[in-house]
Amino acid sequence: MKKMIVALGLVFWTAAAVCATDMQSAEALYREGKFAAALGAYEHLLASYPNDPHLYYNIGNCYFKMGSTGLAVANYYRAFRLAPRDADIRHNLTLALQNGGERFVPAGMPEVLHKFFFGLRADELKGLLLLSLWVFCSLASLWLIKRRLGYAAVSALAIVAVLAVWYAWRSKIEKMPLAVVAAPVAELRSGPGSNFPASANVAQGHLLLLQDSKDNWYDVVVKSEGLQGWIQAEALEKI
Amino acid sequence: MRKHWCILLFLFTLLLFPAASAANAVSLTASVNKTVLTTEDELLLTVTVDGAAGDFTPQLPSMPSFNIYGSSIARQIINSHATTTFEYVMVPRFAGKAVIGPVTLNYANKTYKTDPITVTVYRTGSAPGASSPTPAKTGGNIDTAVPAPQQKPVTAQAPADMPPLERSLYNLAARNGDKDYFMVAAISNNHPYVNQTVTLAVRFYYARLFAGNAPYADPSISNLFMELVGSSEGRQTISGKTYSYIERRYAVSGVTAGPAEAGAASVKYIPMGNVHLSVFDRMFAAVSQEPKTVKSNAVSLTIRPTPQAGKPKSFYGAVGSGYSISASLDRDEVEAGEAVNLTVNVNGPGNLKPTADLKLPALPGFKVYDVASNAGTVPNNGTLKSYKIFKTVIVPVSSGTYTIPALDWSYFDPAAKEYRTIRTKPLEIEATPSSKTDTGFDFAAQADLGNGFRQLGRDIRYLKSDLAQGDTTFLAGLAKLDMASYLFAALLLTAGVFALMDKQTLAGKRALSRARAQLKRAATEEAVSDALSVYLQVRYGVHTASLPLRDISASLKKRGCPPDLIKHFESLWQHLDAARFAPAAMQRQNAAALARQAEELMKKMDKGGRI
Repeated sequence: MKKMIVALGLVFWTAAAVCATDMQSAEALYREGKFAAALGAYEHLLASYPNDPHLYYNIGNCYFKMGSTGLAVANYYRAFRLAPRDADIRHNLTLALQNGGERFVPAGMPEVLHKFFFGLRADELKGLLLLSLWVFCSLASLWLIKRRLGYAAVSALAIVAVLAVWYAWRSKIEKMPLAVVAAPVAELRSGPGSNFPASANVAQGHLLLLQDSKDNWYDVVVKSEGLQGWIQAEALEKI
Repeated sequence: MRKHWCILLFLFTLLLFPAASAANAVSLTASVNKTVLTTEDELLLTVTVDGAAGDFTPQLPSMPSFNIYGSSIARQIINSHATTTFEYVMVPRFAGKAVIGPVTLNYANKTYKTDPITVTVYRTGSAPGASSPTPAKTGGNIDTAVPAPQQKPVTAQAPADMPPLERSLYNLAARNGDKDYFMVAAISNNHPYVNQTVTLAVRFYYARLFAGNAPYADPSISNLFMELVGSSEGRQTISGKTYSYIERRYAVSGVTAGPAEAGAASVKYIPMGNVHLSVFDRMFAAVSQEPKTVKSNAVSLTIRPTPQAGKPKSFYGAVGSGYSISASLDRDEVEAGEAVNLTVNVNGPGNLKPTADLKLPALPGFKVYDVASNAGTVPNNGTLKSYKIFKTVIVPVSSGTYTIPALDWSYFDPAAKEYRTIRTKPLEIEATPSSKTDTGFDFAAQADLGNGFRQLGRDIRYLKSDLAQGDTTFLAGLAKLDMASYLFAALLLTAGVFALMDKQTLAGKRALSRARAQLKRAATEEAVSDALSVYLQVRYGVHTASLPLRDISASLKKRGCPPDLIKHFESLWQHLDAARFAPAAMQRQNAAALARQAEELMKKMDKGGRI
């Protein structure tokens, strides 16, 4: 048994060492200004470690340095969803969105409130909601059985209600089908085809809300401008 | 001498007469070379002014549906009869019905107008229905005109090794050998496949000359694309009689599977009574006779669909043989993020306009934009050749060496009755890292921050050197235990059921059981009193120790104990106090009786009292 534990430990240690080496190699390429090569290395790592916010963040950095603001925004956004309290991710996402003419914190909303609202990951918020629910159930049961701690039960219920609204709102935001303009310029057309007239050009980095899709075209709303139209799938990157 | 002058004057008057009468017979005609076309086709508008001399220009109507990008003028004077032809090359701007309004000519204080012409414009690749070139005319009847033949000695015979199409024409003509003027039409293949180009030949035979121009009307077509590919002249002897003919050849191709027809072509001519007439006689003969019309036979076709079996994915509708394909890039060394133009060129026989656009395969590492196509046809020695050019923009997203794979393009070979595939050569692109200085650094963010600090700009923050794997928090861990919520819900439900059914609380049960156990062991009044105290403490939370009876009663009342039970309790408590503090006055057997009374009171309290 001891031998097995030692062997498993060795395997994990080796994998971690290999990964650290790959990260260092990619970082070296980035420091030399070989952003495209660094991007390839990080994307290779992402295949082994999916949903790692640091990898998405680094990929976003590579795209940003290569001038692909749209793809940078998409990857920063993925990183932000996984690690919303990370100050670096928040900073870079804000800057990349500003380059594309978008705002990360909605106009009129205090940044502190925005940070608080996104202070927990979706799964953490769910955990907190469950915990508060369990506490409420316990207190309510106690009150029903022993007529004790009634005020605590009511307080717990209020907390559960607040957390439930918060979680539902966050879930709605997380489930929004978002995309970003990845091509240097995307043409917004009145229908799903290049035979429909273009009504606007949308620069890369703009956030899009996907409404519908037909063939290779998406019906989108440009959030910052309130424009609606169809954009070819190749011109956007889903988040 | 005077007599000579008179003769000359008479001759001069004679010369002027036909010119004057011709001026009175001015006709204005407008026609188009096709009435059904695609947005990529050219439309030739021909305006013919017959019988007018001098400088004049017809006035074109407003044509918002067309762009005119070329024009030409041709004048022809035959036997003092002037014909001026104005040709305008136009390209339709929109798909749909387009009307070319009346063309106007002001000449000799008169205004001439043509009829409007309606053409149908389809988008590229969409199937047209029927095409019927429609002449618009005033007094004249001119469409495209067959030039008047020159009188030549006719002796030639048809060659013995005649091709099938010529043989058909020859046989058809042989049946009309008793007429001086007739027309025949034949097609090289009556059962072509969809998009297969075949040749339609129309011949106007004449054994005697005709005057002026012979207006020629193209055959009407149904379920066909048709383009004029050439005209020629020849001679043929039928039953010892030598005919000259003018032949027009068209490339036609079926649009959809099913029946199709090329209708009758026609020529209007003014017959000459005698080929040996003098110049003056021919002039007078021309104006004195009514024009006659001769029509060709109609030609029916059955368009066959291309077989489904073995149809490759890269088949876009081309039918024929001898196609070639090539692909090229406008540059093969670019920086990552820069656009490269990819052009694919297909050449071959027939008409490639109705074929579908090339679909590019997935090109990993590239952003690929829409493919745009452009097709055209070129008449070539009585046949039709065409080309189709596909263009797209591809952008390598990162540096490296990329290979654009060979692109397949298939066609159906009607001779071999099988599909064949041709492909381009693979192309290589070398994408170097982007050298753009614009790496997202925001120089516009410069600002004085005070205290001697100046912000020079804003840039993104540096990389993360390690992975975030293992960054699981306590709350995130709890989120995985959502099944535990069912346990808590069950707990709450159970408590709710207890409360709803108004059963004894757990505390009441526990208090009663403890007190009963104590009462069973009670041998003295003091023990009974202790058991009752324990019960009240557990059941109601009322402490009886050193409290006067009225305070205990008040506490019980406050906690919801019914007044009759309180009264019962007070009576029992007084008995117990009396037994404890005046034992001489009480008999020994009272302890058991008081214990029973206490147990009975506790039972009643459990049933009726609330905490």
